Amino acid sequence: MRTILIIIKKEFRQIFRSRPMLMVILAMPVIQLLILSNAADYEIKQLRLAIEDFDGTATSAGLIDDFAHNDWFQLKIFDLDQQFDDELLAKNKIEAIIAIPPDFEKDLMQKRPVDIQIRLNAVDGATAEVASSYVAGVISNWAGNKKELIRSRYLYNPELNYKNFMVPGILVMLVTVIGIILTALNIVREKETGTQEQINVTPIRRHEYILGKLIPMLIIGIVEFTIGLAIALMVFHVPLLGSVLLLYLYLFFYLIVMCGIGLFISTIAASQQQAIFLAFFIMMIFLFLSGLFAPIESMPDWAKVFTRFVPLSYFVRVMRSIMLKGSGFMELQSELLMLIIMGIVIQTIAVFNYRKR
Amino acid sequence: MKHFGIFIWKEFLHIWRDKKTLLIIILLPIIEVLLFGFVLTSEINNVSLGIRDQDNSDWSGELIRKFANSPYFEVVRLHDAGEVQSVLQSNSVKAILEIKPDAERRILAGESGIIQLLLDASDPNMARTIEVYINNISGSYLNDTVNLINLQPLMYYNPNLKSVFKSVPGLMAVVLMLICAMMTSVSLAREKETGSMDVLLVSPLKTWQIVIGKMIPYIAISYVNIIMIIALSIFVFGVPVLGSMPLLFLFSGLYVICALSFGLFISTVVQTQQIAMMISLAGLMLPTTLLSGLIYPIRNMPRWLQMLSGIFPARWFVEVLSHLMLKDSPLKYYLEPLGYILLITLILLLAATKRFKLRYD
Repeated sequence: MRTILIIIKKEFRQIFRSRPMLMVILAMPVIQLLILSNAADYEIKQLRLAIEDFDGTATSAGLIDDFAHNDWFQLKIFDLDQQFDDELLAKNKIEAIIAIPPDFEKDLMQKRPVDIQIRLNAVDGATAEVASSYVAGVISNWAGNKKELIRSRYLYNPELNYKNFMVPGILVMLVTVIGIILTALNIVREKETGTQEQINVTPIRRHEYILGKLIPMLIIGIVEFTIGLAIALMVFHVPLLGSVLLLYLYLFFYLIVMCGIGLFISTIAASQQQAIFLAFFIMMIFLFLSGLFAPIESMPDWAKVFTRFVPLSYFVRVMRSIMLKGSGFMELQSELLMLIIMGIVIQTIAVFNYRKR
Repeated sequence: MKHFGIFIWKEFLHIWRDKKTLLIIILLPIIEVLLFGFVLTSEINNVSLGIRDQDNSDWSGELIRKFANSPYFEVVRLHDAGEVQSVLQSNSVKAILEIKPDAERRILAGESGIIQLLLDASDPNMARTIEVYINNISGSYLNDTVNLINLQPLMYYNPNLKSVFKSVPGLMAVVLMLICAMMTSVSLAREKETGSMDVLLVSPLKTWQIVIGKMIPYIAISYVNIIMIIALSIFVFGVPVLGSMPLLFLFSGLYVICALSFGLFISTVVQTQQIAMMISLAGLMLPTTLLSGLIYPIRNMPRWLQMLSGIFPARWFVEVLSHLMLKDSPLKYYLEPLGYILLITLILLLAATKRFKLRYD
């Protein structure tokens, strides 16, 4: 027990001795959380629109007026040169072009069908589709179809505040990144600089050494999470409807998995350089397969299978459920079970792999 | 000049000797692009939609069939009111459609709120997308009466609305950026840490020769990555290269130099490998991913954040790639993003060279 305490003390001294390291561990995540939480916004606001009015009547002017007064759109260009408009579309100066055909008014009066062409920049296909349905909405409203058929209610986040969604996600990602890199590099460094051998000739036992390495990482992770959580609640006013205690319970088991992964990387990497590339690989998988930014529901089936092996996917879901939905332990049992199983498995593999030579 | 050649050769040997790292560097971008290309999509597929039908008429049955037949939704039937809350809370459905009794008559009578859609808005993006899709599906059913206006959307550059058209170029930019920054920052920081930097500095090599010499082997490695990623994007993902291939390789090279300069710059401000890695990975990963336009459109961000995203070259490279791969635009359309990449590169290279001198001359 005493040996473990001494190692923990040594670890902390080593980390805090280096001022740049302290900055990287504490300040960098905070800055990123503060800045990047503003980045998420899919909502199409002020879609830049060009309208080509080949009709030029009061009717077409009325339709254009509806677009001009709609918050979703920003009327940019208003001319008949199709080639010029297409060029603007290619240059990303506008997102969509609507062409009102000649005889629009006449045809409508005589109840003949008319075609309205919408040209969209579809490099981002999903956004183009949403944009096209907004255009359709304005036109059908204009055509007198004002009846509201389905009334929507947004639960858990009635104002559609994107920060409520982003902040918990970015927070867990930052804790993950620091946790994995720090653990992995820390141990590989001892290997690379040779201090590992010095420790090996001391009477310190394997489990004492590993515990002495992991506990500081757990503490750093918990401290970071707490700072981030305080920012989430006080700066971004993200609600915390569920239990804080429950949040920390999951955090604890999650951090054990993270440290296990770090430890595992350090056992298979020969140098810090190898360790960092392996860590990068694993973290990219976490970033994209956890449902943090890309919803798991939309992924192809094979990818959904992958996500079950990504511990972050459980923790992201837990964070969002506890904070925004007020979910309790009953709804999140399977997540806890999975985190505990993963923790046991990865730690066992890592410790087994780690040989005190 | 002869020294310079030898120095570059030495760098190559260094990299060649550590085969494990080399293998990781070559394979990693390929695996990541392959793995995430299909995953990063903002459209929805097979989302579980709970439906609570209190109407139980032919009319509501018809409506529900519309949803069940759509590829976007997987319908889950709910029966009592208590279920509504619990299925949302346990994340087993993302949205619930409630149809009140006697719906058809009441809708025709002009009553509103007969069909209610409850959305789990803890992911607002998802909620909005689901809402749009549901309105589209139900709208076309309830509305196909007198519609004279026929909308013809033309999807430019990506007629089949494939999400890989956005995700693959984006991933290429992000992965190259991170790999390159990590490679150079670590390589120089290691020389500092092990002391071999001092040997370099007393050699007859000029500062710029050291800086360029460090980069050349990594440019070569990056080209292997670029060729593989572009081959993947054409043959696996079906993302075309409509523009000129030589220009694509040329500008990718410029971007790689820019990313390498990022790493170089980092290594001149730090002392140890550990810090260099922390900054080039923990410091760059999230900002590069989020501010490149790969996931969230930059145009929707607050203005100050849009400006900030301009210092991350990935954002500009994504734009260049979309012109070269999807649009076949003339060069003058994307001179601006290219100019920014060049500008960032020059600033970083100058700063890195300058800091070198400051410290050791």
